Amino acid sequence: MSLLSVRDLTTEFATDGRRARVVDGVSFDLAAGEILGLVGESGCGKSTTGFSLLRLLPPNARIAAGEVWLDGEDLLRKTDEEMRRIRGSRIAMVFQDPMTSLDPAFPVGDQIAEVLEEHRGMGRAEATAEAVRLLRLVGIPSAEARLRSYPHEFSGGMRQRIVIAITLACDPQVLIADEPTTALDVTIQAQILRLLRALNTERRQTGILLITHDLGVVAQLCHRVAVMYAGEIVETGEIEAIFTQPAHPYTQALLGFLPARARGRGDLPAIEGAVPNPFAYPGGCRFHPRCGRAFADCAEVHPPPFPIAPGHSASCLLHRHA
Amino acid sequence: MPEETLLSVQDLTKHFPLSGGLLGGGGRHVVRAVDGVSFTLRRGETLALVGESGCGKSTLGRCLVRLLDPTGGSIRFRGEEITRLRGARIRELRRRIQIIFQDPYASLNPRMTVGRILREPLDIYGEGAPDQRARRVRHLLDRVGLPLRLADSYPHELSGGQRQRVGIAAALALEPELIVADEPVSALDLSVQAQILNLLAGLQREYGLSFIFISHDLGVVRHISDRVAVMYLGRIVETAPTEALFHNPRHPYTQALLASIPDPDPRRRAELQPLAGELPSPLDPPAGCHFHPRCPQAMPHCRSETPPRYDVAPGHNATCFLLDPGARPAVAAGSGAR
Repeated sequence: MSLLSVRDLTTEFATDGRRARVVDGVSFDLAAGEILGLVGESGCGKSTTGFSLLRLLPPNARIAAGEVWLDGEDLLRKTDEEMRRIRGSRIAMVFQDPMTSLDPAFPVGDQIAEVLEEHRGMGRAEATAEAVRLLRLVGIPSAEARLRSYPHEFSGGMRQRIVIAITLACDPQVLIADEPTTALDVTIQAQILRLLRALNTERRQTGILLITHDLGVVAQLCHRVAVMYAGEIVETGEIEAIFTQPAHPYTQALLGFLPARARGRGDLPAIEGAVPNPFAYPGGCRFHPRCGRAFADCAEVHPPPFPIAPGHSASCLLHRHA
Repeated sequence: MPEETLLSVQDLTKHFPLSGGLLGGGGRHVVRAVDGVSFTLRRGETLALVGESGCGKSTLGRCLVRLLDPTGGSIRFRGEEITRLRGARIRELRRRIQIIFQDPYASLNPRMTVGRILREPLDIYGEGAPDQRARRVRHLLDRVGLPLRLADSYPHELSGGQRQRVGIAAALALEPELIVADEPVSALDLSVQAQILNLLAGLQREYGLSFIFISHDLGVVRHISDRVAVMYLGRIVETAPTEALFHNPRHPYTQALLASIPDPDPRRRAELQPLAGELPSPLDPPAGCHFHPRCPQAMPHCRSETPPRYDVAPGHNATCFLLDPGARPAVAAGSGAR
């Protein structure tokens, strides 16, 4: 049974009287202990999906439809106060910029201890001892001495570890990690990826939604993948199936762009144009104007997900009769 | 075809004095952003400079196009010493060496239309008659795959990929021989990145351009470059033909760097063996080999002595004492190769 179940999630942004469905009917499931990759290019709606799950949206955005079931409860029906308690304790988020989650005015030890006191009911002494243990766990050297350091005294990679330590303190059922390593150098990224992997296996089977544009990170970390394009999930499947037998032309193109997977020095297979503007999605399949395999129906019919294999589906008319 | 050396860099240094600030350093402290770098570039070749933040690759790139004045060492372009050129001579050099930036938005004048941005270098350098310049602008737009109507657009009206195409067209305007491309595709989405990489490769074939390609993305580097120089804290630690570097990295840092790249193939899922420690601050690099505090194979003298450059194969060298032929044979080369 899935821990997190998202159904037809739709989030609209309003600008100058116009509305854009940045997330448009997104559905997926996340099981305990699973890492699901949500991948796509900028503007595809993957980050907005993450923020919608936590109901952390800017004032000009609203969730227009859908359900977000966490352990049998629909988060979209919770009051703001209930939601505040759920955030941090049951569902938490790690951002690309760790300073989004850290308070520059307080020592990191206090920030971790506060979470432990609030969410796990610990006293100050117990919370401080646990904070040291968590900082050690995420690989902060001289953890005890660094409790009193402020966020600005740490490097970017160290700050992201501290955010992960705070996340561990919360002990959430679901972690949403939005480009958690994108701002980091590659040798530091490897350290953080190992931490995320450990979080998922050694702890209480946290379910992780990993939002990223980096297919290398996805290949190394995720169990399943959902590919987003223009506000919709266009393909979902097990990691190996997606990387070895991608069914949607967009997924195929994305994988083809990877210079690391290209053979030799020849031109990379490119597709023209760019991701469409959410204020003006093309009709039919939203990918059809850029798709090398589009046929007449693609401009007319909006493709639903078609099954490819158990656990693998793609929203593409090429698979209509599959 | 004879292999003509286009660019030759010897012992180049760029030091930034630390302004006094709170601690009142009085200019006695310097950041050695580029700390004795040597390499050559042949005509028509693409050499990649790779490394992590603070390794000095961008500073080096800016020294090569003389946006920064080197502190010491020498840069020779077609045999001519350009390290200390001034005034009109440096203007003449800018015809031959151009730079493309990661964020073209920051380098394109926001108050000029694309057409004016492309025309400006032609006007400044007095290239051809006015109607020829207009034709040249149209040709440039066409060559980088931009519709002619965009000549009347402003940079903010363009997408990231279109802006980078304008940046490339501006660099091409004066028909340079060498282009320094500093992270030209790092800010772009994969689909746009592929378009721009193909464009650069096509321009190189067509005009016989040479590239210094600065990047932190080793996947991109492997695809586009002929040779690679790996930098760590201001120094080049390894130089090799691209495939040799990826198949047989000899410096422990290169090995660690390659092992850190997440392989985009789930069937080759590796136990991540990250390099320990942080990147040291370039303000205060470790003594001896800069890499020794993070190096799994460091020996006592790595802490105090700077390793020289050892040739390991034709065109392949690395600065690591493990490669000293006089020393005991190196232990099985790390886990880097894939």
